[in-house]
Amino acid sequence: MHGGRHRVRRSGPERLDVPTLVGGLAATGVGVLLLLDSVGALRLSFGWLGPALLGAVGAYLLAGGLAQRRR
Amino acid sequence: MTEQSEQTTERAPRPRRFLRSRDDRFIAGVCGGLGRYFNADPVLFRVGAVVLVFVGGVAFLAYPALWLFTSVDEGTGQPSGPSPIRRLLGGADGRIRAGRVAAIVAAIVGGAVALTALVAGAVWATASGGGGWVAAVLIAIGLAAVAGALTGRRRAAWLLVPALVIAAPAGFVAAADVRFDGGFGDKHYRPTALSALPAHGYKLSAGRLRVDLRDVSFAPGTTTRLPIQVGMGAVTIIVPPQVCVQSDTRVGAGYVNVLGDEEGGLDVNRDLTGARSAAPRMQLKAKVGMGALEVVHRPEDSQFDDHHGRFDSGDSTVENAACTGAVTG
Repeated sequence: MHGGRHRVRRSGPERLDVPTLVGGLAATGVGVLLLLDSVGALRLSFGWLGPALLGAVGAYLLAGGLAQRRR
Repeated sequence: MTEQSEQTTERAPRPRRFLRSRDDRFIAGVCGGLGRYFNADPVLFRVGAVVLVFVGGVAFLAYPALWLFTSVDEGTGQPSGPSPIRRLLGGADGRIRAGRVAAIVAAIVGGAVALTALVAGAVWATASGGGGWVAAVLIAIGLAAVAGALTGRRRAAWLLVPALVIAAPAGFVAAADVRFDGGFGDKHYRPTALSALPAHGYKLSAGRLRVDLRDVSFAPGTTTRLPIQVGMGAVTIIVPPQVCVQSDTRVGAGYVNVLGDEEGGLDVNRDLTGARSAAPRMQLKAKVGMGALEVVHRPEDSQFDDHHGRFDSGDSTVENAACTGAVTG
């Protein structure tokens, strides 16, 4: 009874794949930048693209590292 | 005698075998294993590996090779199982199976072809005006990965591979503003009159563009506009020395040299304005996605002409002298 009260339901959080979630969001974000550039709403340059791509890859690696550490 | 032999056997060093470290590891335990093998501090090998990444990039090949072909030390100096390459080609027992090798080779070749097709497709579509479609595909893949992550489908992580393979080249092409418009290959033009200049200028998708204007007579006090657009490649414009060149050049990635005013790198924007003379003016509006653009007075000043066989033509008189009145027609 005591042990049951403290049992944590882990199935929910464990199902969430955080690195893939971050990677997917980053890919979507880069896609939105490209879309804005193609419709002329934004002038994409290397000054934009470099930080955007590096930030996306960095966020994915960070999420992967943190998820691995938690496990 | 027997006792002596046993002592000798005890003192003899154990057969040494390089194994990756199970406990002392940052990536795959290669440096930890090297440290143990050579009885040295693994930090030395880690520093060496980082140095070799930047010096020649040897570590990019050596580290994966050592990872692939060596087993992990189970902690007793014995391998815990077959090496990754043997496990990949055979299975848990490490016995290589021909069918599996063939399947893996086919998968590698197929994967390489698929990735190349994705890169080429992303570049072609973006440069041909289909950047919106490429972006839509990328967004769809990204959202599919998000949906997979939220529902716990671990295989959704593989979607990030095509996403990156599409995003990087498409982003590069979009940032460099490469446009495929105007054909491919080597194009040489030598108009003999101002009326022969195309109203919309010269366009080339990819290749070599050379516009020689030495036979055109530019009247003093007149201004001639010359738009140039090249997706990828090199452009040489030869103008008579008595013409004052004003330019507005944009190069996504590459090099610009307008009569000695030069710059290279990414997002290169050079504006050359101002003229104190009544010399005929040519307003050059050039856009090059990836490549180089040069404006010279003489063909021999060109840095890209094939007959030179070298990049730098050395000393030459390239200054925009007509703008200052130093050269008159």
